[in-house]
Amino acid sequence: MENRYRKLTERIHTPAGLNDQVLFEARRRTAEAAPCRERQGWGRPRTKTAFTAAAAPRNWTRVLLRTAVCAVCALALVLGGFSLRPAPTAAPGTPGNTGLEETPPAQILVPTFGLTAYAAGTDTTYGPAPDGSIAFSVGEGCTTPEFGDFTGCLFQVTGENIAKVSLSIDRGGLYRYQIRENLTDEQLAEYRQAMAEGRIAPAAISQRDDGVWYMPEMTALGTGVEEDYDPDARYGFWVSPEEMAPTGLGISIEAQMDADFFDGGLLTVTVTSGDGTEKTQTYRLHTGELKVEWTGDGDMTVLPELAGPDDLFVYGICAVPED
Amino acid sequence: MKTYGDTVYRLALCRLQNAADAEDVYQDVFLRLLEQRAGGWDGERTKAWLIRAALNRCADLGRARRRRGGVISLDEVPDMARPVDQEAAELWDAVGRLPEKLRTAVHLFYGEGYESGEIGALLGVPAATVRSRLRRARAELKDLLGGFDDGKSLSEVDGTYPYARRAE
Repeated sequence: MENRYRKLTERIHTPAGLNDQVLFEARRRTAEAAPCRERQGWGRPRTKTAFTAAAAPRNWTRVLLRTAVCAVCALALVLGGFSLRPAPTAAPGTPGNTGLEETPPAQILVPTFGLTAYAAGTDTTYGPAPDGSIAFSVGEGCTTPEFGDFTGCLFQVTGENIAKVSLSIDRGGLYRYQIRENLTDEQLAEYRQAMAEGRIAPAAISQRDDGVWYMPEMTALGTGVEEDYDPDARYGFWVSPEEMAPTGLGISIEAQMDADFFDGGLLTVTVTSGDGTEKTQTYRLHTGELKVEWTGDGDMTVLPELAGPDDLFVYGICAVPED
Repeated sequence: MKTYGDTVYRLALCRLQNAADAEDVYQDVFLRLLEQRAGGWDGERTKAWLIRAALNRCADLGRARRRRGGVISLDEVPDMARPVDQEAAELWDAVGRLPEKLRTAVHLFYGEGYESGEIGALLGVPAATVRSRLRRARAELKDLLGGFDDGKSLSEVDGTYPYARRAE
């Protein structure tokens, strides 16, 4: 006998990419839930001794400032705009200064620099620590054997009068993260098809309360990128499929291992103004069990300091500006 | 997800008649499983847990959202093996027009192969209630399918006994 209904339903399968979306979300929740599971599962096991250089995770060589500055799921690198100051002008009485006319002083752009944390989940930014250090948790990205690990550790370049941005890293790679919004049914179908065919990295397609469909699009950039400045662009740390942690170890462990890939790495950021003035800042990356605290509204804050024996923590990456 | 993903998705799609809502249910159910699952669950226990969780989530969504109208066409179902013949499309449409409780019973009985007692345990109702819902469903399907023999509407079984795989 033949069960026509079963035969019919057996032709219906889970949509392509949906399983990856679930794993994507699971990784994000794992990172968020970690502090509640005090020292269980998330973060590297450690001794009861207080932090010392010897006890610190490998390559962690600096004691970070115990300042409550944070990043939750994304890091915004704020290149704090360019300050304007008058260009040097000829002194009175010197050639070129007749004293007969007042010409407006020429101006050059002098870039200033800073770090600001940005929490994508709450669309909130946070100021930097006094020394410019900033930290964020790992485990909120997306990993596939085909595309590698998009770690979810994002940084955004913001500021004024920035014409070009150049980013490079000396290990692993970077990726661009862009939110595609107001997706039509046709676009949703195209993205799902592209995910199914492996043309783009799998990502969660979501709908806001106002009905707008959106999704992040993640594109690997290799070890560096130089491009025109886009204030909405975000970049993140990426581990290639060849370099990423083996699968099957568990989401948390894999994310931690991929984060460790950047331990000791150097991120270089250069911005260029319209007149060609450049400003460069390098950041040394460290990984370890970072102290977290909870704000009054229930948001988790990752501090750029190693957790003490009795502190709640998440495994995270800290970027420390170099002199 | 590899083993029971299709089961959860099909159930949610049948129940909600909306692909996006079914995807939401799918994601919520498996995230709950990942968060809560203890070791040592056998396959059937996991499957039953998933079905119950999916039914609960469907009920939540049903309360939170007004149904977006109508029965989802097989042409609108993502990742549906095609082509779909006319009879299959009519059967799907007919089942989709059943009241929610009847539709769920039909899907679990014919689509998943559960017996009425098992369905009763999943839904939290007596087996007799499930049998009653199946009888009503078959009666309604007979009308919906324009006078088809109610047994053949869901399964091609010799004689008048309508059940596809198992006798009650």
